Amino acid sequence: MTRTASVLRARGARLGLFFWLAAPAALAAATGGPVDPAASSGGAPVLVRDTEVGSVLTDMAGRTLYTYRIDEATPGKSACTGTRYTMQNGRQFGQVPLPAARARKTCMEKWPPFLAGADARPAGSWSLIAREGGAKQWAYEGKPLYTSGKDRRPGDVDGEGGLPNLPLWAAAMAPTTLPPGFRLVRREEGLVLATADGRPAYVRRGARLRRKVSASAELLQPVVAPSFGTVKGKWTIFDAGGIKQYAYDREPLYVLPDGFTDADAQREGGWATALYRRAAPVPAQVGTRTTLLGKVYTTDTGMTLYRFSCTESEVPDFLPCDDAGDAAAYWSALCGDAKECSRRWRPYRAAANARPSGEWTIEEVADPPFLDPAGATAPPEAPRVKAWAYRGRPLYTFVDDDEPGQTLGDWINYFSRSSFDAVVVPGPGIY
Amino acid sequence: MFGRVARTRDRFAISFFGALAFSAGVAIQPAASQVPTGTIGLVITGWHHALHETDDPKNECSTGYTAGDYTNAEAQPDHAELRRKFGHPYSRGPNGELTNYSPMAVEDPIPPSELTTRTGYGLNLDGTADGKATPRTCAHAKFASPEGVQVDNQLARVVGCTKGWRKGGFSDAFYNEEIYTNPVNRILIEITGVDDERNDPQVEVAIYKGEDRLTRDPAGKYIPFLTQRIDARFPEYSTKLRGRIVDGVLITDPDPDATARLPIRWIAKVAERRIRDLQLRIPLAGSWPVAMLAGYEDNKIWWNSQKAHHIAMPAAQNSPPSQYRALMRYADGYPDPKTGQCTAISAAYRVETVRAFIAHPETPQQRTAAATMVHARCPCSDPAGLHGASAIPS
Repeated sequence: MTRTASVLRARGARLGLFFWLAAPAALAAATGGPVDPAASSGGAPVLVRDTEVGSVLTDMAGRTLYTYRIDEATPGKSACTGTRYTMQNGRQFGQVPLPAARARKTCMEKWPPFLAGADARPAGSWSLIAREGGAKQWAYEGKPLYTSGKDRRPGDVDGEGGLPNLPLWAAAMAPTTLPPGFRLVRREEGLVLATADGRPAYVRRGARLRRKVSASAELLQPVVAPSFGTVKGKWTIFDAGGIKQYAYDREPLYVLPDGFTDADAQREGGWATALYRRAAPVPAQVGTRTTLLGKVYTTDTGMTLYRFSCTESEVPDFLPCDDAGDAAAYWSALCGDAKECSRRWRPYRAAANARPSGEWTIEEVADPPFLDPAGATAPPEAPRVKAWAYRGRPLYTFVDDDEPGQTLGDWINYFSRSSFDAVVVPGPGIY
Repeated sequence: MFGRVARTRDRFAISFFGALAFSAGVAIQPAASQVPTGTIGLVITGWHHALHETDDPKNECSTGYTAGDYTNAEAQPDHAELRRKFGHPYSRGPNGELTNYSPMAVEDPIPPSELTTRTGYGLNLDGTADGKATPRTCAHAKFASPEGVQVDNQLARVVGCTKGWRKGGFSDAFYNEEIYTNPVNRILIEITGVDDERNDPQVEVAIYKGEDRLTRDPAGKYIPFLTQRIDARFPEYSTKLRGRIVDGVLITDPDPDATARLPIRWIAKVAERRIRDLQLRIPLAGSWPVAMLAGYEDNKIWWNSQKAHHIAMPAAQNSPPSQYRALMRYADGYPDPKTGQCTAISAAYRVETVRAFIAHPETPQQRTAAATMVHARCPCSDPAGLHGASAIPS
């Protein structure tokens, strides 16, 4: 993963702008150079870091900052508090005790607030909220910021997640230099330029601006630029015979019309998505395979890889429950006792010479994942194996998958709480 | 290119054949220029367990509907303790297991309702009149069809008293809506070598996974004669059969060595069916009341497609411990040579279809030809270099 960063100073925010500092200072900050938080008094001491999901805000230690969807219901206040819940208040089933409630962490313990010094002052998009107990917490564009207990290394963005169709925790994204109407979307190949509605931009392979662009581009339409728009950096606007068209890195940009899918562009042949930043290489031990779920990651023998995820959906703080030390009941509901869970879900062991790459890391994983189904996961006495993890979550194979490409372990689901799911390659899906 | 051409065909099909079909009110043979002569395309629009049922389940089942998972959970003596210990309202196993993933962890305290009717729908898959064991089947009881034919459909004994799978039930309705909404469920049937739609002693039948959506008219009926493209990404979901047409009904021949794989998506669970010895009875021009698809469903693969629906259990009134045991008990196909346990279960489904144009993936030559045609007619083509870079910063 390329990891460059620049200091984002809130002094700039006073002017309504962010200063993207020149490379030397930026790299100094990124590489642990002398950045004095005091110099940012009156502003938030934050960095910008390029990650696999885009440019994110981090604290001065490089920890990714996150926003919390539930905070939207309490403007000016944080909903992530030190309250230790012991009961679920289910809409369907009423009051039910939480499993292993005594070991349950609080939201504040799992998501430490990004606190401000006593002399911090709001500026521009940066504001301060008061926490219970009197501490001040930074907020960006009105959203309180947190770090995540899931992130273990600078540059990790493992805290993103939540419920299906309801992301609760999102990395705080730094403003980008993209022209209006563009955004970045994550796909297998990396971060790709896309229109505001999420349609990826395409380039004609080999069609650099200095040559004539092929005339066979009638299915994919030019991304039209405003007549008097200005761009900078790798962006250009050129006259494409009566219209203005965007180009990035000297390659004209096109999009598919409404109703067409990625598969249509593939059938056309000769088109590639407009890559903004290439993804880190996938480890040699990991492959991909197209299934009815879409393209999924597999072992080197083609067996589908799965990950366990969990969110306590019936508790006001919606805490994740897939961290080491969380209730084992979320596992045992899906796979039985420790021995049976270990039989069904096998950690995908990393080869002795394996090295992490981008979002792919090698973690010490408890196997079996718990010893007492009424206790907590990953107790210290549980044996550990070195296994592959994707975005911080260990990867498993499923015992019932008998052949490459089978996905029998997908959507094994403790509804709205824990779930085993095949790890789908980022991208548009198959439909 | 394939997509553009196919959509052009869609528009043509809707405007021309669709209008003709509506005005005539009958199925229409496609023009020779659109579909090769002697080819019939069908797309599946409905799929139901072939159950012989009345409005009152007590007519067919020992105690009416089977009690569902939650009803059984509340009848367990340790229900409150399990709820307190494991935090799920309906954890039922000793380790807090949900029964759909660990059906053998616990038995249902309420005995399941058993199918008692001797009348049923299906096909005679094992070729016997009495269901005695054969080298590839386990002994089982046969149903008598309303016409008096001995037929196999052991899966009806597994699901026939489950409210959700009966007529108008939650599971049945949900799945059939997902056939409409999700292209994972797109199954195409292509019959080739048809000389006479009423009687033809030999035709070829191919089943494919499609990739396009279905279209309904304002009355909710599926519109026939639209283009359905074969999803070339999934050749594993293709099956070839041989058959014949008798009095307007397509009848395919059994092939005990073939396993058909069919895609399924139900309540967000993407899965598949594996059906051995698949056979079709599909009315094309006659008065046969229902189209039927039958064969031996692989136990494990079938259970996988069912097991993830904990959310659906209250509405489906489905209890996995009883259902899983019934699956194993009634399985009647392909015994495991070591254990003797049958690994598949005879099943019959009532399917609904409409005619469709089935578009095959283009060969490179066809793609080139199609591209030439498009360039010739498309006003947005660019011989003058409209999309070329005329003011190019170097």
